[in-house]
Amino acid sequence: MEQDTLTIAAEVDATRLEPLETVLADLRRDLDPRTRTADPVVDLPKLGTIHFARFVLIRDERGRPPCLLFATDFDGGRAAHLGVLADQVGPGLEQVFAHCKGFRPGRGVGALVRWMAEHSIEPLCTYRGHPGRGVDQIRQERTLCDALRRHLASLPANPGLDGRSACHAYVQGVGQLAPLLDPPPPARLPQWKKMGLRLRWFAGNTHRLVRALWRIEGQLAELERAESQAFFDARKAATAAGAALHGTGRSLLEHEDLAVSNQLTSVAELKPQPLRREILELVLSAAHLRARTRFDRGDLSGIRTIHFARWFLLDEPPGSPHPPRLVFFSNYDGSWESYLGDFVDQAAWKLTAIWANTQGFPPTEDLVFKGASQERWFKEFVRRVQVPTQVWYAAYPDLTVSEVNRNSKLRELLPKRGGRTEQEAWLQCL
Amino acid sequence: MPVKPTAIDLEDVQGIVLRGYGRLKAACSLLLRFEPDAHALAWLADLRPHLTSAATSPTGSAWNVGFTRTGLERMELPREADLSFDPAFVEGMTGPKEDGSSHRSRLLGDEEESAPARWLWGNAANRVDAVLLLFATDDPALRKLLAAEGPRLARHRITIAAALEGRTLPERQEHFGFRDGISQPAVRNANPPGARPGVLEPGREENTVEPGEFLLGHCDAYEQRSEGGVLPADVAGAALLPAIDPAADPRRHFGHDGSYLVLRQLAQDVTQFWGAVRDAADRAGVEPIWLASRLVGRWPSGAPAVLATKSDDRDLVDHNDFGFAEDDPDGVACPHGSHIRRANPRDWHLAPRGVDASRLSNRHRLIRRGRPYGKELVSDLDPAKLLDAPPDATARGLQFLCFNASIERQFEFVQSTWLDHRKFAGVRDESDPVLGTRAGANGPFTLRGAPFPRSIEGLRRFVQVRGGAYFFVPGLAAIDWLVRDAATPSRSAAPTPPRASA
Repeated sequence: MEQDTLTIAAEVDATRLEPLETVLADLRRDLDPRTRTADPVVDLPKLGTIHFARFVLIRDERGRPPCLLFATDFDGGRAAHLGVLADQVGPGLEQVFAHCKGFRPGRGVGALVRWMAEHSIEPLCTYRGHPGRGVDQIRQERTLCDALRRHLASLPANPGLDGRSACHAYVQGVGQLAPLLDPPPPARLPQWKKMGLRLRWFAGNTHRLVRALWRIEGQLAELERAESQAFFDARKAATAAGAALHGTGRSLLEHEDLAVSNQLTSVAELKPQPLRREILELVLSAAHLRARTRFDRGDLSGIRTIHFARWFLLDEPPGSPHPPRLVFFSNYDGSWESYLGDFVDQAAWKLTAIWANTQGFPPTEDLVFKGASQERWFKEFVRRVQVPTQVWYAAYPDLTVSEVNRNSKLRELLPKRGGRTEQEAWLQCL
Repeated sequence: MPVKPTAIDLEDVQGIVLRGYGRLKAACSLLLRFEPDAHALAWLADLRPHLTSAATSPTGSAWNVGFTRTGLERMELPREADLSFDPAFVEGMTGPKEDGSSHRSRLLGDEEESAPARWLWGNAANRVDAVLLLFATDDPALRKLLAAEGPRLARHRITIAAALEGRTLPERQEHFGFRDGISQPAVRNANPPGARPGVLEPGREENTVEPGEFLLGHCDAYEQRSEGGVLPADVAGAALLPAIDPAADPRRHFGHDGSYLVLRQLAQDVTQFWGAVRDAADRAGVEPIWLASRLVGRWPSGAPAVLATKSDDRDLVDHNDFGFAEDDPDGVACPHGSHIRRANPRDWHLAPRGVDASRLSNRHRLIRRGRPYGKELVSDLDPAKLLDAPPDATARGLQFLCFNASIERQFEFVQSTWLDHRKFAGVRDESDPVLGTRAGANGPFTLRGAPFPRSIEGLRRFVQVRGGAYFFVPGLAAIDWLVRDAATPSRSAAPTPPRASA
């Protein structure tokens, strides 16, 4: 199953900020079955193809106009997705987008699709924790797994019993489940396609790589020294007034840990040097390639809790005094503390390679060293650049990445013939 | 810049952080409140000479003290300090709402019957500003200590919000009948002379943790200095506080040699626990004490289930030299969801192969100082008798105390990511079988083994939270700084001589 992402960014009409906040707050309330008081204005679950979605309202303290982001992770192609969105939840989306500058509602499905396409941004990097598995497939495989566990519980614990064969026979006899014995669609790219992606990346990026290395050689050491000095000076200058501000970031917490899955949105200003943007784009394009060729089994550099993640740049109009911003969306399992801890423990240098190009990041050495491995300062940095996610939708908020992948494997191995080892492998997936 | 490990000045650290005071069998935590008319600073100045450091092992009695954020406010600690304190400490254990809907309550499982609004102390209805930890050799000696502390508190108009006794049960058992407090981290460079073996003795490297994980101002597991309560270089009385870094950063460190204390009153329902075990064992056709030992991960004697797979083994009491990945990777002997695997996964961690998993687990360690409270259900806590004992009306449980240098990365992480995580180590919607919250759910708990995994049902929430707060237990030099200007009243009413030691 093909999967893609949609990222829409539009300037909010500053006079309509408050009504937009109300619309989004209502949407958040109504998308959550526990708090719902009416049908959601934008009925995202109805589509059945959206894994995760979010609306984020970014208010900038440095003078940029407010900005609305809308993002989805979905099954199928993007053109079809835009069409389905406009067709099925168009009126709801128009109620939200009506708060954006220049948006005129009521001009029909075609106009809405065009507006969304015009305002969409191509991410620099996307990652998927269970590539190729559609929303339907994930839900069916969960049902299958639950049924098998129930069936096993009903069997006598005969030491010699082959649980897998018993389950296979059981599934064959249940009309709803039997179709799942057909082999699932392939989840990962074949080797030859991966090789093609690698070749294309090198063909497109070698000259950028050489140029960036050349510039790094000349500028980096001095730059890092100055940045490190500024970082420590800022820490020493922290005052009692800062203590009051310290508390404001905590409001993020009220929307965390409501289910097993969680969301994170961060917005970080790039450092002003052109070199920084160059490095960032190069690093993220390499990460994007690796996400397709290497990290396609639910494990991003040792982090096994990310369902979908993406990085993209919010550019400024020409002549703006503001630097571009790096936006990061993540849909992950478990608490913020464990997620960030995993990052620091498993992939600190990779995080450093990305976020060292943004302002306020802990000091680095040679581009990838120190940085995020300075756990305390790194977590402070993340909380500082994190912004609230006004609306978040998750199609299966109680399933972890590892469960989704294990359920698929359970189904895949069920009809296979084999001896004790296969039997053991199957049991491990239960 | 990475911080080099430094020696610990045991004279500056409050004793309870690094010592369990095992010889002092009787304990009491006085939870205190400073009403507007209380003389909080004067009381602290009055108390200061009695406070026990970690330098010597007390044989008669011991005093230690900690403060919540509101308590430190009354000690006139400037607000700047909050910037560097653990946000969990600044916010407090209950969070802004006390009905269980605060983020922190969700994270800790303090919901429904355990919601802060229903606590006996630590909530808005019975606020706590400080804790005075008192220890004595036996009950009569403790009563004498309390008889002296009472008037001192009254003199300074300090309110006792609650008094929690801490007992020592036979064989160091807790109320469910299991030997407790076996696994403790060893702290590098901080081995107090004479500490009880098995706690802070120089440990195996896999069990040795950097001092900055428990004491602020020292090198932590990420080679950073743990910081909290950083003050401007020119704060009043600056000379009494150490600089953050004498060479590079003249700001003053109030938190130096201090530690965060997590205190929670956990009520245990012993008959409900053993009743559920008995019923589940009957249904599964297994022996109840064997099943309970799978839930806990140790036998009642303390012998680890990983090694003593069939029956209890008195030779393995206090045995702590084992690994889960090493000895039981599939969780057959000691299930993945068992209490001790969740509380510290050791070498078994959700990390890719080739990563030193013990090192990662050690970034979330706690020094535990809990003691049981309430009379035991049967006198010798023999599980065979507990199984059939009728319920009584006694309140009993664990006065849980632990120390750490980052509440968010240590205590709260262990509670939410390990103990109460529904998907911990690949389990499906389970919770810790002993401590877990199991919001509304009825079990389950998976036993692995031939011919296929089986779930037992019927586990409930056996442990409820009755009160709790985060405290900061400052170093003694920091306390001297706090009381630097406070008038010290006559010490004639003071109890037994300070720092009673061997």
